[in-house]
Amino acid sequence: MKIALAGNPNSGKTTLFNALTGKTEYVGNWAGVTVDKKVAAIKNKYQIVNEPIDIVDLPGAYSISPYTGEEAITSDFVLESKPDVIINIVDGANISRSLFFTTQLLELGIPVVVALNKADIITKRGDIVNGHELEKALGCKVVTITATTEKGLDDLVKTAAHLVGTKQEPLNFNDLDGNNDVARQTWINTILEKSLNKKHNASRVNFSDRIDMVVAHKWFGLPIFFLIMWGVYAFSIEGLGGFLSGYLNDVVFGEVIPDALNGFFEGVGVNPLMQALIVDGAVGGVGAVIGFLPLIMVLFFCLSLLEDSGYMSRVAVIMDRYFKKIGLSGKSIIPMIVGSGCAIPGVMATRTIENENEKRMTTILTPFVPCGAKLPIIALFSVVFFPNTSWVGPSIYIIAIGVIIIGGLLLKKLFVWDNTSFFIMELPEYKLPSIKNAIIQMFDKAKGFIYKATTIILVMNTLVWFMQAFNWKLQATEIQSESILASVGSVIAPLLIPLGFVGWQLAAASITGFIAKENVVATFAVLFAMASEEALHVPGGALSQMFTPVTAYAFLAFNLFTPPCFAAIGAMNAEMDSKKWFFRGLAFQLSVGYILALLITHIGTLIIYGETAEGFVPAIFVLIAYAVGVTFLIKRANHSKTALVATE
Amino acid sequence: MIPTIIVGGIFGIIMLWALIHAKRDLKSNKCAGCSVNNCSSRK
Repeated sequence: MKIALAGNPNSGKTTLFNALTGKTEYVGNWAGVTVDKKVAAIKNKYQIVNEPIDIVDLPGAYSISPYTGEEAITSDFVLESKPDVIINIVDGANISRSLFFTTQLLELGIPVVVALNKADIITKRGDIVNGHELEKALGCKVVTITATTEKGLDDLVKTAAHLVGTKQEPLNFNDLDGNNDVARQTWINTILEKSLNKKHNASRVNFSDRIDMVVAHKWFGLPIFFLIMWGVYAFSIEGLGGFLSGYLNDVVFGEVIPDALNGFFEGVGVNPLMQALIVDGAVGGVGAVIGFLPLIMVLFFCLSLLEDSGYMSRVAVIMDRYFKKIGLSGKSIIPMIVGSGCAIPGVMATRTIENENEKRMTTILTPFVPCGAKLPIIALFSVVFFPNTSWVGPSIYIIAIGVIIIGGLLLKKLFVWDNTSFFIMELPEYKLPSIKNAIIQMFDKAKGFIYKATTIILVMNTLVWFMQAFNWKLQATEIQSESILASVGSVIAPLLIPLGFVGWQLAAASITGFIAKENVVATFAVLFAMASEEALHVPGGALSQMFTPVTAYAFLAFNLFTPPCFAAIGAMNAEMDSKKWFFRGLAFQLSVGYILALLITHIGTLIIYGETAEGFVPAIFVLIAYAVGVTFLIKRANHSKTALVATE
Repeated sequence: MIPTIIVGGIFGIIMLWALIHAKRDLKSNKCAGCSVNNCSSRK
């Protein structure tokens, strides 16, 4: 038995899906979180018939006639796969608008049960819904539920299961006079006059509106956003998260586990090379990444609370006025906020953007937002080079916003000419965030982080250890500079000289970072475990041999703002659906990260140390070449535009 | 020699498991989050 959950965006479909199936799918208090359908078996608790029940969570849609990519997924599924029953989730806070989609579902002839969600909000507002009257008018069952507290779900599943095999009497609006959509809405308003007793006055200024007057203010909105993010990152990186990560890195992975393993291997007489491979390569590299787990957990717990409270959808509105100037709209901020967890779902979330140019630009710009995988790099460099300060993490996010805005302007000049689309977003009311949801999201992130560390990062570290321990003749070597890794890194290293980065180790770490960004930290851990007596994660640790604080910050920017990991690059390729745009995007990201690091190194060194950094002369040549290249491309684009206008 | 073979064997099995999963995830554009949430169930 297949039961589909369909309804408007942010009506609570995924919350209901999670409650019915026990899954922990990503839930956000804003429209457009779900962009793909998800299927799962119902929990035993709700399995009331002998036949297995599958629940299908569909992306939110306002209409059965698709306007955006994810709406098409919903309409295709409903029209072609024909579920046995549709549970139509109607947002109790917006009944009138939600019923528009209901009337379309009722025309299909598939049994529909209306789940009137957010019953708690209806009660809080003092509104009264006459369910029987609504059932009579719609010609389908109506069940009142609160998905967040699982209230009314038993009734809902029972009602849905009983409808299987029955036929829904289709509503018919074709005979109505005038515009079909207008007639439909008029009909909805008429039935609501009888079935909804509204005490809540939508035009009255409520608590949410009063908060919005401050946090979404056109001048204060952005500084408040920066302040909030500063607080979140300071608490995560320097506060509780940093403290716990420090303990895990220094004590657990720095002493306890390596000492225990070394003692055991020496005791049983394992070959020293095998011992070094496991302790310094596998455990050392993976441990260097897992050590940052508490930091990641604290950060995502805080972000989840912010999101659930309804604040993040205000951020989209705040950013809209800035984004409009670069040819984007507030719609693009949603993929970027999702991308702060991981760039892949962020890139996938660009499906909600219907304007093709806007979608491409967002796909290219979203990976600039530092994702969870980049946090260990930020935290490592922050601890080693800027101890007891809290500005490194937030400053990276401020730079990310700057890069997105300047990058967007540049992209607009280079390729895109269309006007920006309008941005309309429904702002959910502020609510007390769910601690349970935040804990679920936090453990999900932790699970994913550990999974990644024990798969791809483990494989890469073992490979890195092997490459730094052996030469091309496959003989073990004590001298790292004669190793396979040194010779591979040395091929790339000259390209990094204009950035002031000297050493094949830095090239090697950056290359492994393209497989997964956490590898940058893990590679340093493996390399310095063999070559340095100093610990990696302490202020002035092993890394300080390679960098000044300025070049360290530049290296951080280079790894954060060049193209993302392979998996995210794959997602970009899939979403762009155009090889030309995909390669343009990659080249753009590479040039942005490269030039940014170059500018930080040379301008920073000149200002702070009053001298030129290493690679100053090559850097000047690179900058001139870049400026000439960009000017040429802009002129060519202007020429094409003029030619196009003349043809028209 | 025997302890090295046993430890190497166990490590080899772990590595094989990691390699299979890493390859599968890279091929399907899965991030860590997606491995948990199955969000990359693209067509």
